[in-house]
Amino acid sequence: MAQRKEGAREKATAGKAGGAIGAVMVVGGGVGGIQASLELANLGYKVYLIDSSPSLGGVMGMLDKTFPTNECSMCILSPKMVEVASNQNIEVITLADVISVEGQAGNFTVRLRIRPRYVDTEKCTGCGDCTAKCPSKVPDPYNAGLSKTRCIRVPFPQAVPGAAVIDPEACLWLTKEKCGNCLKVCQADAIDFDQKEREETLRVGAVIAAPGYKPFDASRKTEYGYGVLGNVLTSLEFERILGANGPTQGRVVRPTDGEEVEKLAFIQCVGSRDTTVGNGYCSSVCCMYATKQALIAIEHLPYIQPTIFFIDMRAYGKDFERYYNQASSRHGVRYVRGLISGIRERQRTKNPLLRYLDEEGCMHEEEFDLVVLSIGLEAPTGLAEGLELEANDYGFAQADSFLPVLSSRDGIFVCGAAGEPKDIPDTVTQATAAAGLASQQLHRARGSMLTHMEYPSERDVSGEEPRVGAVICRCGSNIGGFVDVPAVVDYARELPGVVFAEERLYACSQDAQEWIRQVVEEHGLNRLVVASCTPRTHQPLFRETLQSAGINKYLFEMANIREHCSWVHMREPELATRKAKYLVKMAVEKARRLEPLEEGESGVIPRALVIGGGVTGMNAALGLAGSGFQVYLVEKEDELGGLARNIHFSHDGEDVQDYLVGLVDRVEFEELITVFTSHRVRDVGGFVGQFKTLIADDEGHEAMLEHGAVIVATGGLQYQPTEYLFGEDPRVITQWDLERRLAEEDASLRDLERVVMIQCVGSREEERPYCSKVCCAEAVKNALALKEQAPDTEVYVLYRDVRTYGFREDLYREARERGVAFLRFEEELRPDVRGLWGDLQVRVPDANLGGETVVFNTDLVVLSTGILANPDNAELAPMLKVPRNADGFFLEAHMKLRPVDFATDGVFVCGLAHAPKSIEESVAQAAAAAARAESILSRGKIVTEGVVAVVDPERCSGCRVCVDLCPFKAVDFDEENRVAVVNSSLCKGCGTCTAACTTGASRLQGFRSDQIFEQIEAAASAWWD
Amino acid sequence: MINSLCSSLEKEVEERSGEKVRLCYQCGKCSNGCLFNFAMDILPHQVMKLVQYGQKERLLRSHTIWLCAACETCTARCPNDIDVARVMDTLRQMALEEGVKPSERIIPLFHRCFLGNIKVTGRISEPILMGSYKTLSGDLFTDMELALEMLKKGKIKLLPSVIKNRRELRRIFKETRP
Amino acid sequence: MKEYSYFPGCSQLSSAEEYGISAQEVSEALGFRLKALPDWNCCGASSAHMTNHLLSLALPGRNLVLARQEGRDLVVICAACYHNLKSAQMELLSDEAAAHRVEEIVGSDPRFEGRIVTLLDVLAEELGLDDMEGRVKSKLEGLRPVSYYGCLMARPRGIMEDDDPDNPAFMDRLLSVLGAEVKNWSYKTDCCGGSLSLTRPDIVASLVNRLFEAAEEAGANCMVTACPMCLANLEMRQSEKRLRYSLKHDMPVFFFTELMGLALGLEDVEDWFGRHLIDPRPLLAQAGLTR
Repeated sequence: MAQRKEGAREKATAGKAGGAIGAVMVVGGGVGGIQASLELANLGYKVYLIDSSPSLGGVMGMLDKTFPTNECSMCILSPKMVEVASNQNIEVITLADVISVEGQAGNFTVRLRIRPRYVDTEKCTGCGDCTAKCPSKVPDPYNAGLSKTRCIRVPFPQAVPGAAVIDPEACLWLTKEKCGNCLKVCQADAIDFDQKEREETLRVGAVIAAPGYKPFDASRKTEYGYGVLGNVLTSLEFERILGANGPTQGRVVRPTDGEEVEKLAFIQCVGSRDTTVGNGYCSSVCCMYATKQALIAIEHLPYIQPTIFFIDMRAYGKDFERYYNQASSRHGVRYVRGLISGIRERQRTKNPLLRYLDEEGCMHEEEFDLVVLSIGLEAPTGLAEGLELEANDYGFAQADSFLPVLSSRDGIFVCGAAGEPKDIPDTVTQATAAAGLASQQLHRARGSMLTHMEYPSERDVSGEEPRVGAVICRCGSNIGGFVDVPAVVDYARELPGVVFAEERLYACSQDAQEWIRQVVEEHGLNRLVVASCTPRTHQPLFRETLQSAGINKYLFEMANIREHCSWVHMREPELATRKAKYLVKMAVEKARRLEPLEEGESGVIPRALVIGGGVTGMNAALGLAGSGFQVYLVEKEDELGGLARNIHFSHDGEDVQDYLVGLVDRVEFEELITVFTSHRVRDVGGFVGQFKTLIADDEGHEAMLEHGAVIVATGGLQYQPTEYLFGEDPRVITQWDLERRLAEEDASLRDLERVVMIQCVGSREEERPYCSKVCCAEAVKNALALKEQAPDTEVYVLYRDVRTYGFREDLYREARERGVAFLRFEEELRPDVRGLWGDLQVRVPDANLGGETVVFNTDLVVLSTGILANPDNAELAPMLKVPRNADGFFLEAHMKLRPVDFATDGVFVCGLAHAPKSIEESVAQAAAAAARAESILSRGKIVTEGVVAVVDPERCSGCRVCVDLCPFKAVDFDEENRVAVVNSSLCKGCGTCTAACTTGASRLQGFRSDQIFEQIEAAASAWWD
Repeated sequence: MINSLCSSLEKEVEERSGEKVRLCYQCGKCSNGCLFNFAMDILPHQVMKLVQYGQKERLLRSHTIWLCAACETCTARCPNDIDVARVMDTLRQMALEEGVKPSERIIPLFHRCFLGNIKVTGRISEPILMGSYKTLSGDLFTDMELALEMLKKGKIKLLPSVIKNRRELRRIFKETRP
Repeated sequence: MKEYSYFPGCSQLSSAEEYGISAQEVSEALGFRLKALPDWNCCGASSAHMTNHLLSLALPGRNLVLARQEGRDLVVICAACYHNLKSAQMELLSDEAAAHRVEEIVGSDPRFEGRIVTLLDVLAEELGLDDMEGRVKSKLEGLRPVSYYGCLMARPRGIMEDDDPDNPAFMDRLLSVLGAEVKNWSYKTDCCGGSLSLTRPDIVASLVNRLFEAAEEAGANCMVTACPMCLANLEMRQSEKRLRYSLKHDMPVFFFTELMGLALGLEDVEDWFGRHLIDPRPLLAQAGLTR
């Protein structure tokens, strides 16, 4: 097995000979699939994104907030969905399932079954008129069935495609040939009852499986009465209740009587860590999502008192421990250790009743208003049937030990929860990694299947009087039903500069774009205003239309008369019409003053610098080399290998040193990689695409490297303990020491009668308030290995919470099965290790026995020491202009969706430099960082936005406020001229510098002061009209 | 304070019951769900722990092993599929076999009377059971009014129902004697 | 008429005689016969499995031999006997060594492979509720029962295949069909403490009291059970004057077969009701259900 997968890995990095197809199918439109698709399109591949539901979004699209930052889930996902929808190289195929995948890596033939939508997505504008008239009510799947929707509907407001769908089982026309209301009201003529289920065949070079997971069916745990008791919900349902776009608009109320919830309970591990339902694994995310839901509930209603009943609090990820500590100490979330056995109910109030023992062993029977079951994650369907992937005992995709995105089938990659339960950042990391690995196999076919838009050359409009065209959209009845559109058109026609004004039923439809192009030509327009919906989703479309008519796309302005007007003023049509008029006037006034903007270009040096030559850095380097890019690999020590030199075997029995030797060989053999051992980075200059880095060896010999991207893989350190007699008594050692002796099959281990392991040494304490993530699995792994070599040796593991997340839980169970004993202690009551007349004695209050002290002698104490941030990070961070967190690890651009990026373009992070994590997680992150870097290196040039800031050197006082404020580090200070300079390659056009500039020297293109002032003037004057 | 650990009890319990107490991960579901927990001196999840630690005497002397009413709620809900009630049965049986003086004097006595009744007649007969139980426990008057009421309602039959094949019965009791 | 083997259990000979009789009569009225195992013996109850595991296999083992000889599915109406017989059957069928040992002791192969079922199972399978509705002669209007299965009918795990083992619903549906206004509650499978009834009445009183409080809270005016041990315990510990609790319950407890007999218009029902420690006849009179 391992052998075969080793082979798959070789192939993945070795690349594919000619004849590969430059297209990839991504299965699953959740955050993993979306991420993989965007990465692949960026890397130059055609993408078919398949989802079995009618819209992209997956589970993340149903979430209210995300942990540990409490950010709005949809707000961060929706822009990605829009990006997918507007990317011409990503074809979204919804309501589709994979029948079969035949062929081999580089050349697959995929057969799809596509169910009918009964709505033409090209024609449907998502106006909602059909839904309003549909008589057939169905439970709304988007709200987990907690509310009703209509049989024909857009699945949710941000859905992609944003077209309606008909539920064939509930449709009166399809079931009884009655009704047909939607046919009658649809002004876009989009309803199509003639659609039939059909098959489609795709040819792709690789497949990325991101089907996500299946939520555990809570009714299987009958003791919790889900479906029987009125006020017991699943966590997914509760997520919808918390959602502002959910069935209760975010009011935390309970189902039976709609009363606001005060006492709220969460029961953990429902369907996880439970062999009786066949799910022996830990679902990895529930401890944190319950904490998040408790916090958000308090945010909604400050008097809510949440209680979380749990076994082990698994706050193992980056910043999770802090989140958990603050929830408990600062926000009043009550954590009670112990699982609830069953739920009873008071009949008059329908209040759930929970019985539990407190820490003192006293029994309580407490009434709650609502109980939330933290349901686990189960394997998705379709892995074995359609994709023919091997699955593990739980049905999740069987994956490579060192690189879990490699599936059992060459050319098919797995990311996200389909391989093992995981959270969003790990899913995004794997999705990016999968895209990168697919690219390594297909890079010779890069770009071969892309569609490039050819635009006519731009007409020079300088010197022309502004000739504004105004298009007012009815949006079906969305705008037209409330705003007097003809009146707005008449009003617009009279505005200064407007030479053309007309209305459109749907300004965004395909035929409308063609019409706009003609109008621009016929009327010689040089400015365009569209008054319709939000620029967030539609500005790119209209800009492109304008560009295709030969006009600079920045000569476009949009007025949002739907979200900002008709939708919020439905009851006051006259006032709405008046507001629509002045919104149009504002847009016209701005449009008159718009100037064409240029998009800059800068070159890219197609080489990368990888800092750190551990397993992570080497994998990142090999990944880029696998796609044909040159890499400089800089390592401060005199040999490659990093921390992994201390790890001898993985928990599934793989030989890590073997792997490491193979890796070093491949790096040294790889011609595209230049290794600099005993070198440190001294200085970094330049910016994305064109970095200049000075490195030097110990003797001060320097070298200047030029490269387009940087990958930071500086690794971490092991905590050096001073506690528990370490360093004083030779019988107190670390896990690394033990692991080395196990690897050497040290015979003296067999003479040990008893070994004690102590967890959380240097972790989860005041000085280092984070979890080191790997120590629990490491202890369990070594305990098992010890039991293997010395079956009669007693092993005691002293722990605070056992954090064997995911399939590591199987190891924990195996260790218990093999007789390893686990003893829990409290943070304040730590074990006491002392030497006593030659004996090594451990005294520890057993928290599960009410704090009764257990005293025993031992032959060996093994400390599970934590992971520390590399102190070199402090030096590197300012050179790279990137931040670190409070624990000294690098801080990524976005905790959820950009886990390997920095806000600074062209710089990426992976491995222990980012946070403590396991080898396989580091390797996946390395592959992701390599893919992100590849997306820059493969581009050839970097096109910069037209909307960027510029500094007028004449007016700049050199105060440097903007230099410090810029979140993207795009403003430099020119020491010679003592003025600020904006690097347009890095500028994102956010306007922070412009707003902060005291002298008016900083100017944001497209948002000049005079343009803004005229808009304000227009708003005011229109109001007085 | 526990100052000696040994693994022999765990092995003994496993041999007798087939249950792997060491699989327990201390979720506490057994103890939270136990309707008798308020009267117990050692909670069920702690019993699991103490079996692992080899605290035999303490367990066999506990009230808990006799107060467990064998409703098996713990067993039905254990996520590690440990038959907790069977472990309790096993500890009780060990206590009896080893002649440990039980903390709950009356309960094992009742079981003895109950099985004694079966041994003689093959079926339970209230007068025989109550007669022996009341005499041995020395508690003659508890529930006396109740008994009279039951007698009046015909809920207690004075003549026992006796099975025919008492030879088989004797053999069962002889052969199963520990 | 379809015949089942039938294990009456000791209490049907004494304290719960009305259960045995009503079960037999209702069965015959519905068209199937319960034929008692010849010379059956006590299943050992909790006293056997608590103190001697082998005995807890051998005592039911002898009955399983008898059932095997009869060759029909076995109906057990007492939840405690059902649990013991079923547990023993499962162990004997899965553990060959145990089966051989018991065979040595009882002199014949105890591996009964027929089904062991409760009377509720039989009703669900043989009849169905629609059929039942047509046979109801007097609707049980005025009765507001909660159904109480007790703890043992759903143990060991997985035994209750066709119903929810923690919130079983069949008895509720049955009683509704009989015309009663069934009250919902979530204590259907809670333990009443029966096995400690005589030895630790103090503990048991608190458990029983809790159940009646919950039943009252649910708006019930009676409890309906399928377990004679539960019924005896509930009646005894409820009527006990020494209850430490301020609430004094006076809630009748029925066997579900008694109420079926009443609804089906069987003749002997008055006799059954006269045998209860908590006399249900005032409630029945109040509901207009006495003849």
